[in-house]
Amino acid sequence: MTTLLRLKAGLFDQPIPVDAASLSPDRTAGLAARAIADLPLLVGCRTERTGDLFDIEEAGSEDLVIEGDLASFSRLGAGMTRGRLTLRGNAGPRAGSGMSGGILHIEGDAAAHAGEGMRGGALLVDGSAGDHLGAPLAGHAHGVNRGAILVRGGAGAMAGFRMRRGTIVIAGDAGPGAGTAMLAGSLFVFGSLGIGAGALMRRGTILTTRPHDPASVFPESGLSRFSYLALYYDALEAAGIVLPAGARHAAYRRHVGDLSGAGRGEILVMEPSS
Amino acid sequence: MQIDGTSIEDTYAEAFTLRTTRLLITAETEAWALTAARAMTGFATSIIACGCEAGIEGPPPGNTPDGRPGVRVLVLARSAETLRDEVVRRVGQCVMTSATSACWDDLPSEETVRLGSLLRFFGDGHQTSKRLDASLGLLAGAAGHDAGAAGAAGAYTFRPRRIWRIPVMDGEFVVDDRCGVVKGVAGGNFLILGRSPQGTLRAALRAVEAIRGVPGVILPFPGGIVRSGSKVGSKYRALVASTNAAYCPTLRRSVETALPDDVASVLEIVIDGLGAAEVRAAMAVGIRAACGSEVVRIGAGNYGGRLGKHLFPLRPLLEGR
Repeated sequence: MTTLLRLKAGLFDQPIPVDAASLSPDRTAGLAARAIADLPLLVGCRTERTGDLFDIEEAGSEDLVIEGDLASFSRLGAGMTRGRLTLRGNAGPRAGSGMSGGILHIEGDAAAHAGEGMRGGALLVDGSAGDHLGAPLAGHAHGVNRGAILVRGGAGAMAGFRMRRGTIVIAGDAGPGAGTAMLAGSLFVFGSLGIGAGALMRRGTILTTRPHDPASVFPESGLSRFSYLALYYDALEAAGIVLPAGARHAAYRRHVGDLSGAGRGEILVMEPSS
Repeated sequence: MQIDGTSIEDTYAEAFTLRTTRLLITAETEAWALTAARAMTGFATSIIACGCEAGIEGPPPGNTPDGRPGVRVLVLARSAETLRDEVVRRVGQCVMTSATSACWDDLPSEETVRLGSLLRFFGDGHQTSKRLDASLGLLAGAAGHDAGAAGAAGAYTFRPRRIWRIPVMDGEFVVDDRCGVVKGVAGGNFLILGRSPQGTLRAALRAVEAIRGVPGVILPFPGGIVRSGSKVGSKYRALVASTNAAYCPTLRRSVETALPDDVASVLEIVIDGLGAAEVRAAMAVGIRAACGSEVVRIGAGNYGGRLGKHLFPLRPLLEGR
């Protein structure tokens, strides 16, 4: 059984920012439909009842499904620690902000700052993600610090900014500055990797399966096969990702850097001919 | 009780508990995985003097974490600390040094000992770690796929792990941060009392071949066979074990013998395993394979219940009880 929230039609003449932090399994699990309807949502500068914006069917489950385009709803699933939240539509900014457990599945696109400050759990975006995917929460030093993010489409600029641990996988293209100032963790990009990838990174791995010419502060250390990648590829295939042809058995050019900093990170670029 | 003309003695084997870990060694080819595994499990026949007991387990696994050919090994020692020391030394000196190898924990367990977290220091600061936490497995659940269906070979199940990548001269040595520990069973055994040395050896080899197909067990002695079975204690104070005189054919008239007149040779099969069920299964398979016209009797080594808490009576074991 799932708890189903369906966005009412024709609510707003123009998009109004809504803080949707209360829409998460942590808040709705175990509540009756009436209690969920009373949960507050900050709409613009007013506080509204969830029931004023959504029709609520069934209730009580840790499995929460929301139907509707929530592109103007920020912080959907923020702080999630358990359960599963599925959004059948697009999500606004900061979806999954600070989540530490559970599964947030966005079947549409996610706007900027999705998964910011994640500390656990899994964020799955079937569409594309905006800028600053998995970046730090405002005022915090670290981006994703444990947890996994999988974007089936592309991502905007600065994906994985100041990432500390965990895994981010972007099946499409990544915009400029992916993995900037990474501290550790793994960022896989199966589309093209934008310019400036890995700038100022200290440790961690950025991997791309498309041709890429890293900045000069990432000198090449040679061509190798990395047996450990199979562990990631197994998990990604189980998540339904179709790996680029040859990725599993290919050799990768390893570029080490950023040598203008600690220089212990790596950018792995798949060698197609291998 | 008789099987194929061989008498099954109404006795029992006595085994004891040891801390046990199972590692999976992979390499570019099965031959290289075997090379590393054989090196690692060398000089590990008995805890009497080797520090640990170790051996190559069963048939090669169909799936491995890195998709390469692999070989499983079991290592058993008296305590978790001893096990850690032995495993770290053996993996460090025999597996890490072996071309193209990687070493994986193959025994998910709550109790663990350090492995890669100690070996990593060989990297001299250039080592890096990767942590595949449970969140990565959640992605499979989020996508509605069965994590067990992952992997090129089709049946590898995701499990959280932390690995270390240690730079070495042919690339990287990858090793799990820790390895799981369970209470295993060591010293499962049976004795093959044969009419001739040649026939006894043939029977022992049949038993070894059959037991090699049983998962979860190892035969730690050379070729899986022991020719110098021991008894507890010695006339010499410094020794904790000495030759099993009652089963030595050449001492037949010198000591109280356990051998019938038509027995010319005795060989022992010693079996260690992940648990009593595995050891029991291996004993049954091995005894059945050993029986035949060349074998007078199958017996077992025990110490009157003083050595260990696991007792394996032969006849019930063969009757499936």
